[in-house]
Amino acid sequence: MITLSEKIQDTLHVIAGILWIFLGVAFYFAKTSPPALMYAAFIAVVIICLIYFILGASKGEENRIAIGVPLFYPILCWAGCWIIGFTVAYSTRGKAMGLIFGMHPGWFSALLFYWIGTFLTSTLGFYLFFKKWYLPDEEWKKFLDEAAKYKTLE
Amino acid sequence: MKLRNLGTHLLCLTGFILSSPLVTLAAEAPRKDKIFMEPSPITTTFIIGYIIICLILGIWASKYAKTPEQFFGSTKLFGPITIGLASMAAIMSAFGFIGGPGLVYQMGFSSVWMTMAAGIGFAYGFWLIGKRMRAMAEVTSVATLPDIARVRYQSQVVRGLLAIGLLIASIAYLSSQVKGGMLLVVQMLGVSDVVAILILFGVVTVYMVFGGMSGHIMTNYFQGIVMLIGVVGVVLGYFFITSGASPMEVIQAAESKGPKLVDGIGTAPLNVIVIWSLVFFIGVIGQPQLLTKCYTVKDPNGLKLAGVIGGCTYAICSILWILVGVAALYLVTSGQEAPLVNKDNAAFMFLSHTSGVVQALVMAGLLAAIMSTADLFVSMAGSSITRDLLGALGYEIPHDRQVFWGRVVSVLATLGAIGVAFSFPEGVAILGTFGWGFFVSANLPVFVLGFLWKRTSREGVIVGLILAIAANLVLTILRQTGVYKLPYYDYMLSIVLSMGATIFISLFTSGAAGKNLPEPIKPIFKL
Repeated sequence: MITLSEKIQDTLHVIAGILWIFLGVAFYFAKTSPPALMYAAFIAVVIICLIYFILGASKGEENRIAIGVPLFYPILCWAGCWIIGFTVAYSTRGKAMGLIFGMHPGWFSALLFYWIGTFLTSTLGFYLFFKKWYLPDEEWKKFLDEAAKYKTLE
Repeated sequence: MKLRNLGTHLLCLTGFILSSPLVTLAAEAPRKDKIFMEPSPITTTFIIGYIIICLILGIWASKYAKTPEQFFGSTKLFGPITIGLASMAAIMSAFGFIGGPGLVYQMGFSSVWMTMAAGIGFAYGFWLIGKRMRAMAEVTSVATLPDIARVRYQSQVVRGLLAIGLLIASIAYLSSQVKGGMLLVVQMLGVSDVVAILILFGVVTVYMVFGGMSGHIMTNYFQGIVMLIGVVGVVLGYFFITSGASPMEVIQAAESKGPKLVDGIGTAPLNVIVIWSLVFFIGVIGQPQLLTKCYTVKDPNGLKLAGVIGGCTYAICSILWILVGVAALYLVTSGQEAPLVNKDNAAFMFLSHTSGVVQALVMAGLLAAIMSTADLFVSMAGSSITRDLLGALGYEIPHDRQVFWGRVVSVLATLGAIGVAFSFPEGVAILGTFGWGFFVSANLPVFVLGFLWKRTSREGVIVGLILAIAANLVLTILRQTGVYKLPYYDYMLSIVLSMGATIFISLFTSGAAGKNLPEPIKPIFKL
């Protein structure tokens, strides 16, 4: 179990902020720069979404996240699928190649890893671990009890 | 009670009458698109049946629309399957059914990164803030998104800024559906432009005036099912058109096309692919179509099934985006059709090669996609003015009159959108870009940052919202007038500015943030 202290949370948000700005600058120079810059921008995109995923999946007063579920699966597996899917598509772009199941290898990789792979991680993980991790009944009840102490906000 | 019902009927009638001059403008607008299909009795029957069911559902939903919270928000009213399908139907718009295949025809698989990203974005969005948005419905009276923003940031300024943006973006979305919808109904029924607009937006206005947000959700649930049936028609049509051939092989081998049209990236520049795979992924939870659904789920456990059903059914509908585009490319590459002048006709070219039943199924799905996206923005335009904007300015409409005025403004907003679409074609282009861009650039800092990070402050969000509105408007106007053209999408810079400003200003300010969070909201951050 990892505790995301307020300091760690602030740091993660600042990293995301810096990456957002990096994206703004990188896209500005996209036309005049080598394709590697856009690959770096893609990695920045994955990191931004990863940061928000980790923060969204953490919970409790101390913002804790378990290493196995959900950090390794689905979160890190999801990021891995996204990176593999895009990288194969990126490195085979524009090349005439033999088809796999009637599809270009770049498109096949995007379909298998990016689309199906990320569905089998983030979406399936949401379904599988909803009660166990995301929103156990006792945590919702605890929230309702605590919220009931206050007057409804206007 | 009867008087109120009479008022509703009169509103609908007024809408029809007032819209006539506006749709006359539509009739005068030049149209270059080829008519690929002739209307058939089976298509007409399907469409009439579809419209009747939408009207019945919308009017039936009026029993759930008695209070402003029910009319504008449908807060805590529906089950997960309804919410999942309704979310999908609202996000998969005419663009997905017409524009998407056109982009595949034009640039290969580039645009597919958009639709793949959006499907995955449903559950991802719920992972981020689903339960906390739902929890807000337990600590305050929620009817609209600006309601939540006002309570989270304890600020009428945040509420007002968000309402302004939502209003403009809603009109933009509506306007952008007008022309696509008109073209579709003309192709389907062979009626004039005027009649097409009256049918399409008349039906939407009627069921939204009666049912409000509940009308939107109930009809979208049905429209989602129609869209899924349409996909079955597309799959059948695809195998009929390509019978036995390998379309990718034919396209890759063709001199005029080549591997770029079948590889994983397509012909769009790399930066476009990266932007699409970001904005259409994380941006899904920035869309009101999904954000509002977080608090319409009756039981919070419903989020589980709603996220999965929404994402999976969206992915199924994405098959239409891909197969129709590939089939159109195949038809042209194999010499069965001449190259298209307007790429958006790819869907109609595809349909012209299918049987009557398949055509009727897919056409009904296309109509459902347009109506299911347009109707939410009818309701949102109404609530933005009647409840949020006036409220932020200190003129709260009495609680028992909000529904009536919401209905009046919804009719006027629809008429306004039709007027904007045909009176100012350049304006539509500006607002069309503004629509998507605003939602992501405004809603991500307000809701995603606001519910992920306790330190997201009122000051940070206000600056973020101002930058989002200003950047979207200024950049698109500069682009349209030819004064300055950013070398990438305007909305991307708007998102960068609003997210960057919100994060860094929040580090140094503390309004409604950290220890200053309202006490009832603090338990939400423990979930």
